[in-house]
Order: sequence, then structure tokens, then C-alpha cells
Amino acid sequence: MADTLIPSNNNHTVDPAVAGLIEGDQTYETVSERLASIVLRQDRHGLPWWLLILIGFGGVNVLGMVVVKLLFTGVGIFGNNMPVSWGWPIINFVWWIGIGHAGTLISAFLLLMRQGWRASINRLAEAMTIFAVSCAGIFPALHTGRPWVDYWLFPYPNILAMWPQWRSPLLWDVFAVTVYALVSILFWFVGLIPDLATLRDRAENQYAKLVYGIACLGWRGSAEHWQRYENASIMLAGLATPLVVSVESIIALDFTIGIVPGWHATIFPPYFFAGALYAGFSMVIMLAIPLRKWYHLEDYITPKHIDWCAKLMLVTGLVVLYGYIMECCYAYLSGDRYEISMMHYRQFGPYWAAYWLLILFSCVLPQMLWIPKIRHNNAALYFLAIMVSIGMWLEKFIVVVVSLTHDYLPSSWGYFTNTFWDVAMYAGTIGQFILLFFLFVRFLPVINISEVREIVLRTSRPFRRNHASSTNSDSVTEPAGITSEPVE
Amino acid sequence: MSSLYGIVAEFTTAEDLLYAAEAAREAGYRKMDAYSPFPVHGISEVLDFDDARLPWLVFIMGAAGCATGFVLQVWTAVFNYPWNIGGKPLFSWPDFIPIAYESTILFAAFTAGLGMLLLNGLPRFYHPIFNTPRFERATSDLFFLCIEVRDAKFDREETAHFLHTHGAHIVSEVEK
Amino acid sequence: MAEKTQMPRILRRIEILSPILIILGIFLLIVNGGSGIGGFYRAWTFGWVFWMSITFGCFGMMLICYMVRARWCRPLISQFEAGSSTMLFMGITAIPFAIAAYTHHLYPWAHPTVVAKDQILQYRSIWFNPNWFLIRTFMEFTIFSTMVFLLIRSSKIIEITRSTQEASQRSFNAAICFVFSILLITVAVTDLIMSLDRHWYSTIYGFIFTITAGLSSMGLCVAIALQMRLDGDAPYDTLVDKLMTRDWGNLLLVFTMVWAYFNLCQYIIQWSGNLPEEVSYYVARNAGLLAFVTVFFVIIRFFIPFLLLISSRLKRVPRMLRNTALLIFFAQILDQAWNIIPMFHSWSGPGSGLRAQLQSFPGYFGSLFLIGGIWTFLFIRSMKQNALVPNEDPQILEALNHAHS
Repeated sequence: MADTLIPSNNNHTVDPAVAGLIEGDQTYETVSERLASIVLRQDRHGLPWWLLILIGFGGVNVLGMVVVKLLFTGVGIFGNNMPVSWGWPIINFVWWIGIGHAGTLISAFLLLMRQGWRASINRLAEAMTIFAVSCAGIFPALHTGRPWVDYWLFPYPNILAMWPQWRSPLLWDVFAVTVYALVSILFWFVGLIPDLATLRDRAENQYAKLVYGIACLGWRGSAEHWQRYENASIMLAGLATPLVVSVESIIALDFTIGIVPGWHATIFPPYFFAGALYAGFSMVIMLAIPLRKWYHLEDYITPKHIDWCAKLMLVTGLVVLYGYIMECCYAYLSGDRYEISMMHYRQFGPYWAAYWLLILFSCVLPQMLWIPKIRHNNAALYFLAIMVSIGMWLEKFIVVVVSLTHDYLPSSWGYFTNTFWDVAMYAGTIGQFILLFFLFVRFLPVINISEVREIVLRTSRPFRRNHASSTNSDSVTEPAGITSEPVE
Repeated sequence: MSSLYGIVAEFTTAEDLLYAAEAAREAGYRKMDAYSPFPVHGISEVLDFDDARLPWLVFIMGAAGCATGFVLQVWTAVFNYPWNIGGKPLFSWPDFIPIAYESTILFAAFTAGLGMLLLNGLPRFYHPIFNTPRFERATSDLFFLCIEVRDAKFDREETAHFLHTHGAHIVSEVEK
Repeated sequence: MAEKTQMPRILRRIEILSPILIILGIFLLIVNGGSGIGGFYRAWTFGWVFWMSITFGCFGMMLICYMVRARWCRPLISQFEAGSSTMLFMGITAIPFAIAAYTHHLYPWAHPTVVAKDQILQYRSIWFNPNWFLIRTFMEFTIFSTMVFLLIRSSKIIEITRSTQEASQRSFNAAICFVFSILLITVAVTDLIMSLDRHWYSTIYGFIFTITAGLSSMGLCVAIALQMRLDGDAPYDTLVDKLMTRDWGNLLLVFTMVWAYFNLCQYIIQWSGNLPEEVSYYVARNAGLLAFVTVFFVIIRFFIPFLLLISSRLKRVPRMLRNTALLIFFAQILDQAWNIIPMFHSWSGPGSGLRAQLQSFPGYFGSLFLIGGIWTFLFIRSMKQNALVPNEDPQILEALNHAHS
């Protein structure tokens, strides 16, 4: 394939903005082949894939059983009871939604910032978003108690002659999460179109060709289409970024709009958002490290990508730390006896272990990420990512449970214990996430192929052809714009 | 003759495509389109193509979404179903902001995504350009420039010759 | 590049402006003498906080530029450095606050009669007492000034040696400094501004101050840089291209949106909570004529810049972007006025409402001009000492060369 080769010789200068984002001797063809074959060739999915699918499938079955039990018995199977009516389901809901946010941020915000390193991980991150949101959505939908009338949450003219309660942040939540799910799917699909076309053209199986052909809507890569496509991508990114901020902020408002001690803090929205990203980046790391190993994607998901994720994890972790400091200091400074009592209860009450583990997992340990050596050590990074995920779960636990068990009146204080079904449902959603994610790996390109081609273009100076046969080669100057402008 | 769609030249690099497109434009060709596996920067300037409708559509639909969300809440909460909740005023506009905001995003985002597809004329499963030999590689590693029959300057031999002399790897006639 | 000694026109103009501002400021402060020493303190607070926000914003943006070393930073960094080098001056001009704390002025917690009647203030006196306040303020500005001094010195070394290693060390130091500055500025803002109000507190307040600071200092520096571009001053005429103005415009847009986001969070939460000690902040700003000021303020601060900046055309036209950036800078005056001035009247009881505020208006402008005159003088002096655009480290140079090839 000599004619398709873009020589990546060593004596050219590489655009530093994309240096290290792709490794090996890459051409458009090798990129397309390597990335499309994960979908098109069954033999690239080995034992790990089957094992994870099995685990995921098992999890989904557990989830199904919990749902059936719940529908027949009622929400009483969970540990939710007065005063804690928001136990694990809401904790898990907030945790899962948060995980989704990093995906949107990676693909949308980094696109706006013209960061080349998003190309290799945006698809994976967006898929993570959608699957995390699908896991999150199950919890509030089921814990309403009568999930079969959940459609009452939406405003529609009905025979009850009622409208939703617009002043409630819980309703804002319904809107925010629905819009978020829809826009994430749209954004993901728009990003997939050119890659689906690649799959259509590379598939040998007739059925695969047909399915991908329909899915890509007949994409043909016309320049006119690309122009609108890029325009639309930028606008979608510009809309998805503020959307993702609003979603987690509205979830934070679920708590802060109430005046329960420990909830009513104005810092909540930004620090919940940072916490969401924190958990999300840790999840990206947890997914990307094994994927690149199993599917030999080291050339595309390079140490630089992992390093960037680790750095972002550190940054968001610091914002979260700031939030904890503000909460704690202002509670003690406020002079409000309930806030003071709440903070004291968190730190030294019956749930003290959760609080201090949270501080350890998500504030102390991740400070190791300041050290470049730790960021480059996959095992250490993986460990930290798991710690952060647990820490972020504990954070939600503390916010939900501790405040509810200890608000204004001592008569309404209590102690929360979870049940077997709480744990089973949580485990079930993890299974669902794993199943969906690895089905995605099997059937859709896990890395954005067309964007990686652009990285190939930018990392290697295009092969200069000798236009000797050209009649007016003198009058035509070298086309500008191929390498001069960073990708929009 | 009438069944001819255009003459398609194949290139192996984006730079070649851009070079040939520029040359074709200078030579007076107007009705042409380029096909590439990724967006080639500078090509829409060369092909003199810039569609500014989409941003405006998105803006207008975003504003419409904001109005829809806000008006829905005001109408239901103040007029259709006035109900005292927590002593808040019926017209509690600060609490109406989040949903108005979400519906802004919803309308605008779907306008951007679906508007892009509609303006592009997609889905369209058959297109003459797919008849080009080796066109399946336009989504992997090859670049194509098509000068269409409807171009005023189109001439079967001359256009093919022109493309041949401007770095085209293979030049082929494509039927409708 | 020939007339390198020649200062850009806009900088010369600012240099001429600064003595005028100083004289005008002193005059207005004397006119305001009638409102007594309390009036002087209030006026001083307003002017000081405004310029402190610009200084701190420049400092924060300088740290960000050191960290990300992006292309858009390069034409702005010398201005950010010049702005942050006024940190020591801001520390010195904070002395009146310490004096006010000892002489029972300005702060409710410094008033023994107010504290005697107020349980919460009694409780808070562990933190809010003159000695501890003095020590904290002194420490904050010592640390800030030291950071500024050390970082700018390392920049000067990099400018000469062009060592990549030193530059990456500076990135790391800047990151550490950034983390601590955010914490320190939160403490400073809590002490110096938030405690002007008797009971009100908000945990997002440090973020709100930080973002207004970043936004308005970015507005100022972008406006100056674009003016130099429009005047055709040496490196700027070629350096500031479409990509650059688009990046600046986008950053201003992002900051404006974040500003709106933080403020909206605070507003929705406190409005819905409707707790007396919290919502008093907004009640005070929606009383009588101030309601109109509030509406005007939100339009100027958010809606106009937002609608202007989402247009991609505006971001390509330097003149329009400059005007928007200037609007953002001047809106900060209104922002801080809206934020601070009603706080003075949160605790001194009835009779000190709107009328008293209007009476001391010359003083507010006086201190704004006086501190501003000295600030701009120091700013220009620092701009003169350094190159307009730094050489920067080889890595970034390579990137720039590549982008322009």
C-alpha cells in the first residue's frame, strides 16, 4: 500500500499540541484498520471480554430480580425509612450521574478548547456517560414507589387537571436528567456517523454492512457535509458543556433548596459538579487502562492521555477538597447551632468512619497525583481511581444519610441501616454498566477513528508530491491551512 | 451522456486534494464537491462553501425553547393551576429558571444535530458518488474530488485531462 | 520592531491618566470629608476591593498562563505580571482596614455595642477580633506578595536563559501557588468583605469573588492588548490574529457564564431557603430604587456581554471585542458597588439607608480614582520594565512557529 502511506519521517517538526498523542508508524490506513477491526473481527475479543460480559450479564439478572421484588413488594425492601427516606437509591443515583459527567466534559469541553488529546478517549467517555446515566435513571424511577405512574412527572394535560410542581428541585431533576440523556445520545450518535460509514465500507459481512449502512445514514464524507458537521459538533459541544454543569448543579439543588443542616450551602452546586467529574475521570482511567492493554491500543491511548486524565482528576479533586473545607469552616464560623452540630455529627458522630474515609480516599491519597511518577504508573493510578470512586460514593452517603438522621428536632433523629436489596440493586447496576460497555466495545468503534486520522495528519507532515506533470504548478502556491490551523 | 454524474479524481493525501481543488477553482470550475475521511481544513473556503444558516437556526430554536419552558411554567403555575406552595409567590421566577434553561438546551441541541442532518440531505442511502471505483476507501484513507456534469465548464475529455494533470491518482467517470 | 523604545500609544495614555486620577481622587475624598471617618473607611473599602479584584484577577490569570502555557496567553502575560506586581501596594493600602478594626469602624464585629447585643457575633469573635484579623491580613498579603515576587523573578530568569526545565518548574510552582491562592483569597474575602455584613454568609462567596476578579482583569488586559493591536504596535499587530481573538472571546464568554452560574446558584439557594440571615442580602439589594440598579447590573454584567460573545463574528473583529472587554471591565465597578455598598447598611439600623449611600458617593469615586491612579501608575511602570511579549520557553516558541508556518 505504498500509495496510501504518509511517511512519518523523523526529521520533521511535530505540532507540539498533538505530540505524544499517537505512537508508532501510523497512516490513515493503519488507524482505520486497527480501530475498525475491534468491531469487525471477532477474534480480537478474547477471554477478558467474555468474562466481563458474563459478569455484566449476571449483574443484569440480579438487577432484574431486585426490580421484580420491588414491584411486587414495594420500596420497603430498601433501607429507606423515616427519617432517611433517601437512602441508597438516591446515593447511587447521584453517584452514577456524576460518573457520566466526565464523559461529556471530555468530549464537549475539550472540543471547544481544541485539545487534540480528546480524540482517542472521547468515544469511550461518551459511551460511559450514556451507560452511567442509564444506570442512574433506574434508581429515582423505581424509588418513587409507584414506578408505573412515573409519567406523572412530565407536564402533560391530564384528566387529574394537575400540573407538576415547578418550584421543586426534584422536578428540575427530571427535566435535567431527561435532557441530559437525550442530548448525550444525540451527541454520541453525531460523533459516530463518520465512523459508522467507515465500518459500512470495511465490513465484509453483508448483514453488518447493511446495519452500519443504515446507521450511518448514507454518510459520504462530502466537504459540504463536513463543514456543517463540524459546525454542528462545535455547537453541540457548546450546548453540552453548560448542560452538564446544570445537571449536576440541579442535583445539588435537590439538597440545597431544602434548609436541612448540612445541605443548605451555596457551594454545593460547583463542588458537586467537581465531585462528579472527579468520580468520572477516575472511571475513565479505570476503563481506559485495561482497554488499551487488552485491545493493544497503546498507540492511540498513550501515556499522555492517561497523564491528562490523572491531572484533571487532581484538579477536580482539589475543587472538591475546597468544597469540604468551605463546608466545614463556614459551618463552624456561621454561629448557627444546627450547622455546627451537623458538622460535628458528621465528623464525630456514629458515621465518623465514613467521613474520615472520605477525607482519606478523596482528599489525602489523591494528592499523590502531584508526583509525575505516580501518574505514569498504571497500577498506582488504577488504585487511586478506585479509591476516588469509593470516596465519591461515601461523599453522597454522608450528604444524604448523615444530614437526614440529624436535623432540627431530636425527636426525628435516627440511624440508617441498608438492606440486602440496596446492595443487590447497586451491584446490579454495576453489572448493567459493564454489560452495556463491553457490548459497545464489541459493536461500535471504541475510539473515534475519523478524529484520530486528523491527529495522524497533524503528527506527520503530509507527503509532498512532486507535481512535475502539473501545468501551472508555479502559479499555485502551497495550499495553506492543512497544518497551520489547529483543529477547530 | 445524460446518465453521467461527474468525473471523479482520486487523491492519496489531503494536501493533494486541496491543491487540485484550488487549481480547479482557478480554472473556473464551480460545481464540485470533495470527499474525505476527515474534515480537510481550508477545503470549504476553496469550494466557496459556507452555510451560516445552522448557527442561526440553533440560536432561534434555543430562544424558542427558553420561551416554551418559561411560558409553560408561568402559565401553569400562575394561571391554570394556582396553588400556594411553601408560601412562595405564584410567579416564583427564580425557580422557573432551571427548567427554562434545560428546555433551551434541549431545543438548541436537537436543532444542531438534526438540522445538520437535514441540511446535509441525510439520510440518503443512494448517491451517484458511491459508484466511484474504490470509493469505499473515502471513509478510510482516500480523498476524492468530483467535478459534476452540471458545471458550466464541464467537458468530458478536458475535465478528465485537467484532473489527471493536477495530481489525481485515478480519474474515473461516474454514472448516476 | 525598529522603534522598540517607543511605548504603545495606549500605555502612554494610561500613564498620563494616572496623575489625573490621583488628583481627582484626592479632591473627591476631601469633598466627601463631611461624611466623617466612617465615610472615609466605607469609600476606601469600595475603591480598594475593586482594585484588589483586578490585582488578584491578574495574579490568578498569570498563574493560569504559567500553568497552561497556551498560545492565547502570550500577548497577555506581561500585563498579567504587571497587574499582579501591584500586590504589595494592595497590601499596604489594606492598612486602613486594620486600623478600622481597632477603632471600631466599618466592621460590625469591631463595634462593642453591636457585638454586645448579638449572640452570633459574640460566638464569631473567636475568629473576628482585631488582633487575629490584623495577623491574618498581614499574612495573606505577605504570602501573596512573596508568591508574585518569586514567580516574576523566575519568569525573568526564563526570559534570559530560556530554559525548558526552569519553565516546567515554574508551571509546577504556579499550580501550587494557585491552589493556595484560592484558599487564601477566600479567607481574605471572608475577612475583609463578607464580614462587613452582620450575619450573612455564603460558602460560594470566595468563588464568586475569584471569578469576578478573573473576568474583569481578563477584560482589562484583553482590551489593552486589542487596543495595541488596533494601533498597530510592534509585536501585537502580527501576533494577535483571528485564532487569538477567538480564544480570548471564548474565555471571556466562559468566565461570564461561570460568573452567572455562581451567582445564580447563590441566588436560587438563598431565595428558596428564605432564611432571614441569608435572604437579607438580596432583600437589601432589592429595596426601592436599588431594585432597578440590580436589574441594570444583571443586564450589563451578564446579558449584554453574553449575547455579544456568543457571536463568532464579534470574536473576529478586534474593535468589537475590545469594546466588549471594556464593558466587562467597567461592569466590575458596578458589580463591586452592588456587592459592597449595601453591606455597610446591613447592621447600623434605620436612617442610614439610601440617603446615606448617596451622600457618600463622591467618596466612593474618590477612592476608586485615587487607588486606581496609583495602581495604573505601578502597572505602567512595570510594563515599561519588561518586554511587551515575553520570549518564552523554546517549547512554546516551537509551537508558535509551527502554527504560523
